Amino acid sequence: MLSTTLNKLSLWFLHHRAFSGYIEPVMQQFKPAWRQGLYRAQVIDVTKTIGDFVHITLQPQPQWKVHQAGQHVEFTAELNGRLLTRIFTIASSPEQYAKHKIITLVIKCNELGRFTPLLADELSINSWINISAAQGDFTFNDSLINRDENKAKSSVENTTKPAVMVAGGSGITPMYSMLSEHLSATSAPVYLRYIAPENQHQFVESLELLAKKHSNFTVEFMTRAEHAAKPLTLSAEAQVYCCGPQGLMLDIETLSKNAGANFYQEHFSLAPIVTEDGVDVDVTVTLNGKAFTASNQQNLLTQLETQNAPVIRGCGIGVCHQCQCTKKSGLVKNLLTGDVSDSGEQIIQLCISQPLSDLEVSI
Amino acid sequence: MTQMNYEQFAQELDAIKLNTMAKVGDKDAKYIRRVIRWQRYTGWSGRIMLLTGLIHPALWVLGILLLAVSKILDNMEIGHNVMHGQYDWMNDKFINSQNFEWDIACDGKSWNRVHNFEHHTYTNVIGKDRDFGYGLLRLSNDFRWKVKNLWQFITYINLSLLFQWGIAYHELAAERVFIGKKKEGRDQRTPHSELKHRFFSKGARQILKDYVLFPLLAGPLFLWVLVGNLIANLLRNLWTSTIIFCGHFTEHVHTFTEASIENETRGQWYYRQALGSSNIQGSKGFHVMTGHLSFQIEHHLFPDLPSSRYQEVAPQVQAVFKKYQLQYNTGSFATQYSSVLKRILKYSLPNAA
Repeated sequence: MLSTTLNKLSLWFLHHRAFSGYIEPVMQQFKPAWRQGLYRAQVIDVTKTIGDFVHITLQPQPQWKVHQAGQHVEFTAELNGRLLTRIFTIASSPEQYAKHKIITLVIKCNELGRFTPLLADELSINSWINISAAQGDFTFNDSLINRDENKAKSSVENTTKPAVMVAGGSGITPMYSMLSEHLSATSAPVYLRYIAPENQHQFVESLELLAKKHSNFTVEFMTRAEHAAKPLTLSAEAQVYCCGPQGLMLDIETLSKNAGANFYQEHFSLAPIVTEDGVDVDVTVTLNGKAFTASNQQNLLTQLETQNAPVIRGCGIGVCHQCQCTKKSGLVKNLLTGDVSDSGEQIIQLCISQPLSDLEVSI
Repeated sequence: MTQMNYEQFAQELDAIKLNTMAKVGDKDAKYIRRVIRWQRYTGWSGRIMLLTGLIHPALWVLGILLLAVSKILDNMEIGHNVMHGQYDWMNDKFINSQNFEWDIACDGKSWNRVHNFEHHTYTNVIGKDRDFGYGLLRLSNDFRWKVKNLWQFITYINLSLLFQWGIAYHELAAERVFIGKKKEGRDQRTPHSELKHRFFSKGARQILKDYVLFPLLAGPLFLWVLVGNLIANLLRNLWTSTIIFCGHFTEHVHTFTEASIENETRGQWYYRQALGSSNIQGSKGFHVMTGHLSFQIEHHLFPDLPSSRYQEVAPQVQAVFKKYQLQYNTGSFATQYSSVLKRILKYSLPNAA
């Protein structure tokens, strides 16, 4: 209410649509990383671990509302003047937040990315970053609630049913959070299969400790080959949770369906599949929700134009910014500088952008 | 045109841009945020001081000056440059060319489309770049002389005083041309009615803000604030108009024909930008107040390079010009401005030599 009024006044008096946007640079003098619509969080610790993972411990501002185990946040950091945003699952439990007011993110550094490799080196202790409110419904609690006829009838009934968790790579983060939070509250058997390349498993000690502490919990660390060699057997009773690469999730989903088990999954944003520069491949460009096909060898503007997409042509040489739009996800190459973009949200000029992966764009 | 090696010329300028862009980062983000803060501080203190005129009129005058500085910073160093996309790489929700709106009668979105496309792509091409003389002034023999050109010096003074309205109207009319040329069968994102709506709503909001709302807030000091705002706007108009004229209408600035830009290469485009602009020498603070349009040559070569880098690239650009024996048109404010006035007067008369 107050902010609506402020924004109205701001529009009339200060030619700014949002009052907080108007005062942001000033506020940041007093409160670093103060940003409209986002929470501030202070970096408490950054630790590199095996397998190119970074564990980031954050202390969110007190107004931030605690997450449910399994939820994620949008994480925004200013690296060399650029604000970069990614979605990461919170690996720590709500219980830990209640006790120590801290949350932990576990991030796989993608060498091709322009964000994650920088995190470990450029994020300094005590600096401030931004997080969004916790979001997502891949949670233990939520999935116990009956939302589908095929799913279990009541949560009470469910707690006695065995839970089977399959995590691939950094897909371990929501599982770890759920296990830390809920193991002590359930007597049902819980099994975790954690698939990652050799020596790249995270939280090994903590997970083993959990297994020792809770007799109903078993964990197996596997490589992909080991997983293939020992297929999962599922009962119709099982509640199956899966998070990992697309292929793995499809496999487990089929397996669950065949067994008649309930299946819950989390699509966490994978690094987009980057096409090779010299090889002509078609990618999908989703513009304002409508899909177009484009070759990865040519600029976006011409290709979208020939398909009558609502794009605007200006100079066509990267000067006038008429054709620019917001890329929500995917990678593009700047034809003038040769720079490959980050996979997150940013403004791009269509006439000098070559798509390197599937893209989501809005005008 | 001369037998110059345009390709090599383009490569050298491209290299300057790429090397500088690679350095752009934290420093530049901090710079623009600092300028924005100063814009806020001068604006707030200026508006408050307008209320202290009863204590001493000098405070009121100081308030006007501060408010004018704030408006100039907003329009020049922040607005113009941010709307060019110079700071889009920051991914800031507010400091970017899509969302920025400025404290001027001209609607930001309309201006952005026309200025960046028409003026920066077709710089000084007669018939394409309507910024050349703004359709009001005859500034080269490319235009047929009309009787009204006899008193174009007075027209110029009027334009300067009302510059924000001139620009607002100019961009509206330009949109008509721009849209009219669009190919058929494509979605029109900006129908004529929307342009008109933008023109009137932004203009009305500006009038209401400076001449009704803020004065009303001052209660009994209504008139002090109203007159103060009026003078601050006039000062801003005069300053921006003067700086912009110095950047494009000094005597030696070239014009080009539509035929000469057919199949233009990147090198030739650079060449046209180089000869179509002029710089003004001055101190650091002066450059900030001009929105770095005192580096009009660099701005036209690299319109989306952050303004915080123009001072740095200028000597490199100058060295390249020297190598290719191009005139690097620069001079003191007095030199450049008197040159502008001479040009306006010179072409008041038919077929000036």
